[in-house]
Amino acid sequence: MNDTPQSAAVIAEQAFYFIERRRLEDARRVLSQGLKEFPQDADLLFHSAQVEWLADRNKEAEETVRQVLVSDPFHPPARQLLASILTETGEFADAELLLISLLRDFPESPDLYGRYSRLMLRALHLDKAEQLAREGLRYDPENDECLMAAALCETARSGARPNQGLEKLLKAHPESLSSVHALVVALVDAGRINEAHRIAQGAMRGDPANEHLVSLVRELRIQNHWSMKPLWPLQRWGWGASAVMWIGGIVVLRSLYNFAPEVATPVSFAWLGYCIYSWVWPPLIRRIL
Amino acid sequence: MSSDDLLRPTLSDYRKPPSLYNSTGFFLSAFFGGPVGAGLYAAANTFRLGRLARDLPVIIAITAGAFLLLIELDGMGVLARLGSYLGGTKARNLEIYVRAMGIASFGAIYLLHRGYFRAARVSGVTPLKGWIPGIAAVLAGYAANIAFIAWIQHH
Repeated sequence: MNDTPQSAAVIAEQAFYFIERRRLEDARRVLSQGLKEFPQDADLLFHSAQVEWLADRNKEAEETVRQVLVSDPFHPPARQLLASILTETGEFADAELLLISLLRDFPESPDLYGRYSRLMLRALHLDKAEQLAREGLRYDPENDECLMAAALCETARSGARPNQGLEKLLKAHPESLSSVHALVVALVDAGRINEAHRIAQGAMRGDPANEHLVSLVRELRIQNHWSMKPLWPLQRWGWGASAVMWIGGIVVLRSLYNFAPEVATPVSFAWLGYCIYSWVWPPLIRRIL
Repeated sequence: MSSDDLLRPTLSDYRKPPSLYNSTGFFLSAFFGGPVGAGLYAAANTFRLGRLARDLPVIIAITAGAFLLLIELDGMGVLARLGSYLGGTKARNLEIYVRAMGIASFGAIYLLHRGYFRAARVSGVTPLKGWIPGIAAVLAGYAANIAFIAWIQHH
């Protein structure tokens, strides 16, 4: 950085350049210098809050973004960021009020409808989430926030069945992170862990600084590990598989004891071993890998 | 729903944000606590979803239906025939039937709340720890199972 005086707008632009590239330390350095000179500048404070938010420091991000809103209560990006922080910290009702106030100011913003839809999905209000995504798509049928919200709603509603929302999202935004996220969620829900892992890995190579993708790939790597393959029915059908395993186990073992007692004991040990394996191994492998 | 309805706050009515206790606790409560265990854990979930008034009658009907089905099957002699196939004592077999009914109740209630469980999964919501409702459900459910088995053995 040179020593010539700069305006707050130029510093904000530099900070944004670093934030876009996830160079958070550089952004923090530029912003702390800028804030010494312009301590009340709303954009510099907003970018500082953004940096803290991206670094998962929610408390600091919230404090800073509230400072922005004290000096400029209308600042739309700051209100949006505060809504994201409140969603992340579980303050759903406050996040909802903020998003509604933003939607009243920008009633035709599909992004806001998409974000409100995602909040409703998180708050387990599936019907309203679907309606909000649909409303947003009325304003922009290719908006990725709304398409993603619609795809996730459809995955939540119909699981492994063909997902039109997801197809539309992939067609409109084949390269976006939203598409990857929605696709991976749908594939995991359908028990197609291998494909989900491959897609997430590919996306991570394109954006290695994205911590969300890194943790997603890590989780999928665990689920896709060769030692987890025997647990595939449980991954695919969840509690349904557990129930079948228990009831089926009792029926099969009792039948074996009645009709083929010589194999009943080894089979019951194998069944018990599988049950114990399914309980003990997944948490263990998470610690190991 | 009109645009105005869509922009009416939904979450302000909740004392705590809607969420679900984890499904492992639900399964274990049903497994060890039978239909009553499943029903109690599900009641805790519906309370957290703010749907107690709507779902409680269904949950009670499922729980009662599980016991009534066992009584009916016992009256028809199906349990006795199944018991002779399975071997073992009557009390032991009744425990297995009650447990199986617990799992069936779990399945029925899970279907009722499937959309919520799925929405939680796809949106990456961390489920609540289910120790307290789980332990309460297992204890109450286990007591109910013992009482039911004792009652059915004497009738």
